[in-house]
Amino acid sequence: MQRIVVVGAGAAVQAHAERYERFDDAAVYGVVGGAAESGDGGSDFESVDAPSYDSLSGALRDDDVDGVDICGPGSTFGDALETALNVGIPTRCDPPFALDDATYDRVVSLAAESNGWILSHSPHRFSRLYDRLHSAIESGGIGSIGVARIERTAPFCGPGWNVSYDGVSAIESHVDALCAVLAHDVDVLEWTFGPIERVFVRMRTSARCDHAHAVFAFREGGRATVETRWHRNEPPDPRVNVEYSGNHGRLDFDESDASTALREDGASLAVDPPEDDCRGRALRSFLDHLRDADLPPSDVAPTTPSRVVAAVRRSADEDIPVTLAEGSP
Amino acid sequence: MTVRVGICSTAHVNAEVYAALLSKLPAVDLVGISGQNPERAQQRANAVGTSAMPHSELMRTADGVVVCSPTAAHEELIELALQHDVAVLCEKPLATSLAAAKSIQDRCEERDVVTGMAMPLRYSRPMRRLKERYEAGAVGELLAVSGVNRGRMPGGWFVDPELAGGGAIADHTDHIVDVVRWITGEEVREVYAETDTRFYDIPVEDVNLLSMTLSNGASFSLDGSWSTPQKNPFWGDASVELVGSETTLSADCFGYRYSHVRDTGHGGHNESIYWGADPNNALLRDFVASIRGESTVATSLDDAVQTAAVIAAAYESVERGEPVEVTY
Repeated sequence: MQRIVVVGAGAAVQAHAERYERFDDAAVYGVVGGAAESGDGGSDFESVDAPSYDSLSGALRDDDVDGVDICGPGSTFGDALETALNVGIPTRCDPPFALDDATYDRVVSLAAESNGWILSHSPHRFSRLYDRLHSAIESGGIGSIGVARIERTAPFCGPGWNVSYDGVSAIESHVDALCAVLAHDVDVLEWTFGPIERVFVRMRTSARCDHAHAVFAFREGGRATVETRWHRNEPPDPRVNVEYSGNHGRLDFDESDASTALREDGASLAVDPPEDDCRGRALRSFLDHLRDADLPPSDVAPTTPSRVVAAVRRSADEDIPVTLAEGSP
Repeated sequence: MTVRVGICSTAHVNAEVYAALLSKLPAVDLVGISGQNPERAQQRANAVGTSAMPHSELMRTADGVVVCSPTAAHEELIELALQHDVAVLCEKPLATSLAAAKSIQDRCEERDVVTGMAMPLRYSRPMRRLKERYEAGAVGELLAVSGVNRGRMPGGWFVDPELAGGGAIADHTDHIVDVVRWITGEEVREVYAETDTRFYDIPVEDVNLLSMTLSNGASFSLDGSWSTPQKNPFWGDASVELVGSETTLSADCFGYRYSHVRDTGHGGHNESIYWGADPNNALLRDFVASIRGESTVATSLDDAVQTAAVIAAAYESVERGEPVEVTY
């Protein structure tokens, strides 16, 4: 039985706890409120059948925790991330685990010195949809990538891959929120098309919503745009448009392609059981790594979404394209 | 009063479209189609029941011409039209460089002849409704604009940098930049461009991603790549989204479509059919009305110079690898 401490904001922690409860080999050992809820002592976690703690160090006092799961961007829970690394506990967190170069360097270096490790994939990688897209690209389904285009609104709930953004609502700064959303797309783009070489981004903010568009150049050729809107108050209608165009064809989907599978009164309902949606499958992968002592390929994997979003912030601040160093992971 | 209109050159893919529409417009006499390729001009002319003729003869015969030549030939044909006091509706972009576009505009200004650009998106009903909603304040403060205008790679002279002035940037920047300027009343101030040649073995870019800012500070992204697969059931797309402090509005020029799947074993098997009001038709009607003195073509040569400046800035950005301020 893998004993997991879950760190994050209310709804996201409950979503993760619900999934762990469905696994035979996992138990939620404790829950820890994030910075956004530091004042409430974790009271949002009453529906989770596990003790709540004010800090990860408090939850780790008994020394019998197997893993830490940060649901929501690792960068929002930086203290928890560093606490887990300091005591050598394996950790899973949503990207990005850092939003600036200094934090990135500190976390990577801390991980190298620690017995612990960090898995920071986007749950998108674990969705059947993105997996099918990835496989289609790898098998030459559209030839060489020419242009990838992603548009999305956030935050919104289900179905499927959309749950990845639940935890992002813990972020208050608009730039950080946009970066946290972008990190998921960056992870999938890198996974599918190889390393990103250059990024240019523009961001705009208002009382109602924030907006960013980013232009990426891949090291092996091809370009991509990612456009995202972060709504502050009311969750918008789900909106996802993904299109990969290559010299031998095009793949595309939008939210309608999934949200029509099961509907009630015009609203879409989740079809997959929680333990088998993209987030459930991401948690399953983490548990498998813990059970098999299957170390990830590096102390932090993957690192690139965080490196890229740090570059995104710099590009937005300085109105310049930022080139990522050759040979970086 | 019947207006005599001609198609000047068959080089542009739209020449055939315009000829078919003009041949059906009331009170319009499609007097001829001219071209350097007499065989193709004759073929096009036969298809719509008109005559093929040299450019100079067409200019002597027509009240107005639609110039559908390669971009590099616009200047010469417009000059010929001006000499004959013939009205001109010119395919975009106006010229292969900003300097040439300004020169054409200057010469047209000196003559009292109707001139305009063949920019049908200003006549698109979704775009017109979008403009009305924007001007009514529905969007609030404009934060961001997102545009797409992708299409199939047209080949031919479009991929000859001398004749076209470039590739996908030259071909697919005008429409959306023009319509966004028209809707918002803002000018493009800065352009960052990412380009590449990824889809075809051609000497020009087929990837065209522009990141711009407008004069009110709003960001403006545009994907104008030749990324639509040749076997796509529709030629491409043209849409604009306005993200504002109050709401987000978007218009898809060709959103009214149905699918046709053929099971005959002949030709294309899957096609999307646009069934909305045809903006090309409205464009040509307006051109004819302008010749009669009853209207003004929506996109002027002044507008064309503004978009030519954005195209020039985009190419400069590619060369410099950084955002470039647009110089008008």
